[in-house]
Amino acid sequence: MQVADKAVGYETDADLVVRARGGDFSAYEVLFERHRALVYRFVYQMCRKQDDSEDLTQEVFVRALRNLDRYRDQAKFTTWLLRIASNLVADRARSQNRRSVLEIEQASDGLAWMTRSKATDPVENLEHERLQEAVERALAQLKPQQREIIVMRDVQELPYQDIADVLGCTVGGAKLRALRARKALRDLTLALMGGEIKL
Amino acid sequence: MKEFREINDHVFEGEPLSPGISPRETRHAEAIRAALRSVKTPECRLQVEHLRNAVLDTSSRRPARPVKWGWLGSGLGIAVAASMLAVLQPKADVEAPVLGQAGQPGIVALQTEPAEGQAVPKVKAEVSEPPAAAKATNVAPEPMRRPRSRIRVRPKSESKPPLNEATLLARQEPQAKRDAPAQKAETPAEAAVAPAAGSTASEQVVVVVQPGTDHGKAIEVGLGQDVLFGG
Repeated sequence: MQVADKAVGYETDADLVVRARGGDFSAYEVLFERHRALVYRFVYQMCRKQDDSEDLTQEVFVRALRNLDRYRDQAKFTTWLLRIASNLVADRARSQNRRSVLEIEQASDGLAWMTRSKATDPVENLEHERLQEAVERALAQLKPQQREIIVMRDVQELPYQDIADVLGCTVGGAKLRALRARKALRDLTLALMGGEIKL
Repeated sequence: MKEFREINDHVFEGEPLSPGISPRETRHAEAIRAALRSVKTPECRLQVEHLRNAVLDTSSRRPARPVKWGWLGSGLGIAVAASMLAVLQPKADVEAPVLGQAGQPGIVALQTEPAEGQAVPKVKAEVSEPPAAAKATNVAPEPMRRPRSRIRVRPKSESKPPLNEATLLARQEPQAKRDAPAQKAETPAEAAVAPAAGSTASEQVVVVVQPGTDHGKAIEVGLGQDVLFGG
């Protein structure tokens, strides 16, 4: 494990991929350690259930290992991972469409303690909590394609070029999608907040 | 829309806003942006050991992938459909036709021969067989009509307009002149001019023996042509 930790800092993704292609599983373990959180955060924000998110994250890395020969070095390894994750999340959303609303509501309730505001004023603190909950719910109610781009751009703060690579579109197309998704998010949030954000 | 686009481009991207944007819109966008940034994710409990076990597990389970069941199912469906088609296909297509020959124009022969032991009656269908030949009755068959496409042959006289009296009189005079040389010709070769039994006038060959020669000279003469002798 010490060797792997050392490799995290010294080897690039491309070098690790070459080693992993050659059958060196320890190199792939380094890649897993390096990008596990990124993939997990994206998957969790998309499906909002911890157990399922961990399963999906694991599936993403298993599939990536199986298809490592198909990976082209022109794209970032993280972009490729996120594309696999996006496809898996979309497949899961299609298969579990009926249960998704209930799961999202449960997830929003369970996440409330983590998104508590640090404001000292109790009223402001309450308003922050309301807004946070409304944004979480609005994010969950967005279409999967809109939620996906909001998560990548505004939650994970990925550059537009990476988002365009994941989505398979141009940078302009990614910006346009982000614009529409943000507008939908704002409308939903305002509707949940009663038409006004008192902050 | 234009305002929100500008808010998107500046507030969400962390750039200063241009003047003219309403403070309310700006405040909403900033609040939503801050809420999105503060969205938390629970810690991932996934470890390398989990990945290793998953890789080993999937590699051992690989033969039982659902894709193969899908292929098997589709193959089974195709086989069932093919067998159904074979059962439902009429036997006339399989067996050789008895009446007529396939491909012959105007003849369609259809026969269904049951297998041995089956009580299905024999069915025959014939088309374009002559109706009179099929029935042996005392009633005389109706006269067969000629096909309309056949060319109707009619004598030339029908095609000509009817002659009036003046024309007939004008034609009688040359006819009288024609009769005189014909009678004159009877003298040297009477036998040759006589028409053969069963022959028509148009096919007559008149053999004329010219006087003063040892052998005859055959001349084909059409109907109505004058036979004249020189000298």
